[in-house]
Amino acid sequence: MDVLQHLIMGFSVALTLNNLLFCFIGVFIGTLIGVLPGIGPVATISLLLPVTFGMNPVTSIIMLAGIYYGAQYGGSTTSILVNIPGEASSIITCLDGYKMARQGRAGPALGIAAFGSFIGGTASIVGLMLLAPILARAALKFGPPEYFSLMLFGLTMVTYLCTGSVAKGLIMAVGGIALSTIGQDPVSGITRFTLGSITLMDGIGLVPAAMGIFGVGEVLTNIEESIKQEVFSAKLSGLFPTVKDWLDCKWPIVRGTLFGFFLGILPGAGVVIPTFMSYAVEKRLSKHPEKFGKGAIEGVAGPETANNAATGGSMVTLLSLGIPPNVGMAILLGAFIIHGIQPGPLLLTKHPQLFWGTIASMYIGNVMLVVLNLPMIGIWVKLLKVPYNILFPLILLFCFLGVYSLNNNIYEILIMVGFGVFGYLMRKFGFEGAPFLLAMVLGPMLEIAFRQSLLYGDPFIFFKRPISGVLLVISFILLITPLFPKIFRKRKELAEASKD
Amino acid sequence: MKHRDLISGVFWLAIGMILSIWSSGYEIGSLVQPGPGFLPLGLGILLILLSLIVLLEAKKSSATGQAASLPSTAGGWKRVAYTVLVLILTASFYEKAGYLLTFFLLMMLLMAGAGGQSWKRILLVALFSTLGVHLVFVLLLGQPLPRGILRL
Amino acid sequence: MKTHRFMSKITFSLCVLLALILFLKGPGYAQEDVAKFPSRPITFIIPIPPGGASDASCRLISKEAEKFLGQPIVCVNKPGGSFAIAIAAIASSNPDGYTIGYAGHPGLFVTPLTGKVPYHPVKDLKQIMQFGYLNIAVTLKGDSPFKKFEDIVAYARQNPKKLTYGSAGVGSFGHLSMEEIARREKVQFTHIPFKGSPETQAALLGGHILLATGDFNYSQLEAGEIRLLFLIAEERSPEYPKAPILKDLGYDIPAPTFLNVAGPKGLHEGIVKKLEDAFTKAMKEPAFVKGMKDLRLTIAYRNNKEMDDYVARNFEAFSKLLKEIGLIK
Repeated sequence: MDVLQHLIMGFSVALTLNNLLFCFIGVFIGTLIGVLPGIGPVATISLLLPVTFGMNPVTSIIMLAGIYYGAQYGGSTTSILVNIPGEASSIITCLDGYKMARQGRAGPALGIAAFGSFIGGTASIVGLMLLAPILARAALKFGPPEYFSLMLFGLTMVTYLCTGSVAKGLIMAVGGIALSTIGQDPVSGITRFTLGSITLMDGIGLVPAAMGIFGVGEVLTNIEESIKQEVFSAKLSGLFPTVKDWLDCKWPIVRGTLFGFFLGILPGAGVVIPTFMSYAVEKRLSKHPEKFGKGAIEGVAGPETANNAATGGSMVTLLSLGIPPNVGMAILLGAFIIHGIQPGPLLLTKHPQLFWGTIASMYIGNVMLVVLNLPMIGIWVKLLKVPYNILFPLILLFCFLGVYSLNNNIYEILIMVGFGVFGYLMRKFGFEGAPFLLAMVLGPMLEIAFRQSLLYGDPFIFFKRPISGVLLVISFILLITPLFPKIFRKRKELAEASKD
Repeated sequence: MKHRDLISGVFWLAIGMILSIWSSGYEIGSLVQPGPGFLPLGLGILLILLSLIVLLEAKKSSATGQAASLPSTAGGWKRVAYTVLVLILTASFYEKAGYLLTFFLLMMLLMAGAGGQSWKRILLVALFSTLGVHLVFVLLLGQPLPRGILRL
Repeated sequence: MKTHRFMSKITFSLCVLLALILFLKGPGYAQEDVAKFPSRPITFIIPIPPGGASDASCRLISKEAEKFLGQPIVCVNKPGGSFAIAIAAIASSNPDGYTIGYAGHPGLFVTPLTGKVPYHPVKDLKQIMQFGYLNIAVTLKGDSPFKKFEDIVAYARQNPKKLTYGSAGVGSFGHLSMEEIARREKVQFTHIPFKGSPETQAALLGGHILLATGDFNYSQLEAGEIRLLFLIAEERSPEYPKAPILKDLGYDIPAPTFLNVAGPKGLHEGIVKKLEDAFTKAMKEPAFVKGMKDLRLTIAYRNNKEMDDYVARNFEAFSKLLKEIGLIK
């Protein structure tokens, strides 16, 4: 097959000593910054760009790409260990991952995250390899009405994220969307709710909010009780996922891969949305949804697979169309450009070595990452034994450092602290952070897409276009089904009966 | 009556009202041509409705157990407030003082406030963590952290 | 235990004292000798997130200018507020020459007029030099039936509001130019704002809009997927010499799509000269020239006085333009 031939050529490029070395350096740095909260692949790649000026383009891209997808491996580490999302794409992992750590199951959580990442990453590369041009074209069919319906679909998932009172969960969701309206309205150009602050003109960042609610909020909640020596007092039970864990996670991983890969292709969708969707879907489809939020391993497996699968998906759009679907890809595009290469329709014909070499090195990189990350689990787990009165200042230090490194803006640190207080109060009064953050991410896109679509002049545009129409129907069905639990349960029972 | 739900219900009710009033100051437009104020106004109204539901649920449920009383803090809120204050303080002079000094102070203040540690240990941990940041973030990763006016 | 609490109280008070001293002590060191400038690294503020052609060009020129200044130039990204955050940081910094940056279009000509910013774009900045132009174009799909810009205008006249064009947002060059053209031609376009050039490009390729404005992907261009209708620029681009610019189409609309270096007002003349020299020499360096060519960006030059005038003139022009389009009253 043609593809196989190209792939073999790609491996011949990727397996040179030089490229292997830089692939390793890339994934190593990627893992490191993925673990470190706030410092992300975007900032790092831009810093290392000048270093690559003198290097061969293929080698530079191999290394820089390695940093990017490597970060998706490391991001889950701090989410699980200390409830601080290392990357935006690991925010949702905090929910169940951290709970698992508190129950002494940090090892299995980290393990399944690593394996899920590997499977998601590798599978998405296969998809990239085989389907890139077709998928890219299909992604272009998504215009404003389709984005609106997709976001609406995503928001119906919010109801599935709530464990407690639905009204409270909805308040969080509404609050999240409301907060996301702060800033410049792209459709009319005016600024809303900014009180004249130019920092707020761009709105409230997801990362400061998430690190505030999860990281700082968790610290504040813990130190309020008392400065115990150890917050993680549960006995450590095993370093790796058990067989049962694996069986539980096999479908979440498959679904996570699909979600991540396909959603990662869409420009503007970002890497966060696939993770939230995966979590909500897993919770919805699970036989024991009440376990979610308390340490369900599926809640770690699905999202972590999704965020790695999204890297492959985003590369589809970047490499085939030359359009970066998210911020990480935008900086990778910058790296290409600096080396005089413009990804796009001509990339395959003009620079086949670069395309296939990068793909081959991504396979290699994923293997390297699994090998790197697994032994580290033992070390990470030891970290949890550090006395909390030393650990919590370090956590706060990292949050501080991390948020500042985003935009070099101290006001974002203050925003994070504000959200920390909010997160602390939220926990005290029985509200949840996940619906809030999901709404913060989806809200703006929902609103923009809605208003953009209406500019075309036809209010029924959402129903007249096929993709949009289908998504709306599915959303409607999803919204309705909880109202008929009997029907749903009967169906499940039937399905279960037929399985045995 | 669940007190904590009463408090949060009232809180969100207030937020909903503020939001609705504030957003009506922007152009609302119509359903087919929404303006910038449209969505926030809708959200504000939703918040009001939802918080009323929460308040109703709170009134309905019987007063049982600890959920009925105010969320307790057992004096720990002082630690929380102190930590928040330290964070705000260090953030305000971060760019002027530079990262080395700020982080050192941050660690010292936080650990000192937590209590229960010899201040030899506090000093050591603060020193090592600051140096660690310097090594990993500045030397290894090359992050441009603020050097402050003392140009450390 | 009691001793510990006491000791920690002392530590605490000492720390607070130290903190207060630092907080209150302002930037109180003496003005440096111009001859010694620069004696430590210079900060170059970039108003956009990393990645992207403009960011790359700033880093390119800084890297070359370092050689002539003898001190490293540290590039720091301070995105946000349509350049306002970065420009505010430059304008409020100490006029000692150690804080400079790229102070570009929206933050100079749009944001200060449509909202409140803590600086005056002309009075609070000292321009140092210009080193290039961005690529802002109006593009359409390769297979589009429109061949020349006149076709677009004719179509819009026949079908009011059916001509959809996308831009990187309200106040962007694409938006402002197209609205001004519409006003002059007395036709109605429909503006669909997006959050950035990549999304606009994607929408164009997907057929959701008829025209796209802003930055474009030259691989798409070379593959024939998109076509350049015209460039929003004041000078012809050496990369695309056949593409008409606004003036060619008969529109005298300001298009200051420059890439520049600026500092806060009050910079000593000697320091301005040193910086201007270094960056001007950097422009001639082969690494810079090649880099800009790879980025497909145009190299152009204005010295510090010319830039001051240019910016002041454009500020007047945009005040007028924004009123005419109706963006401000």
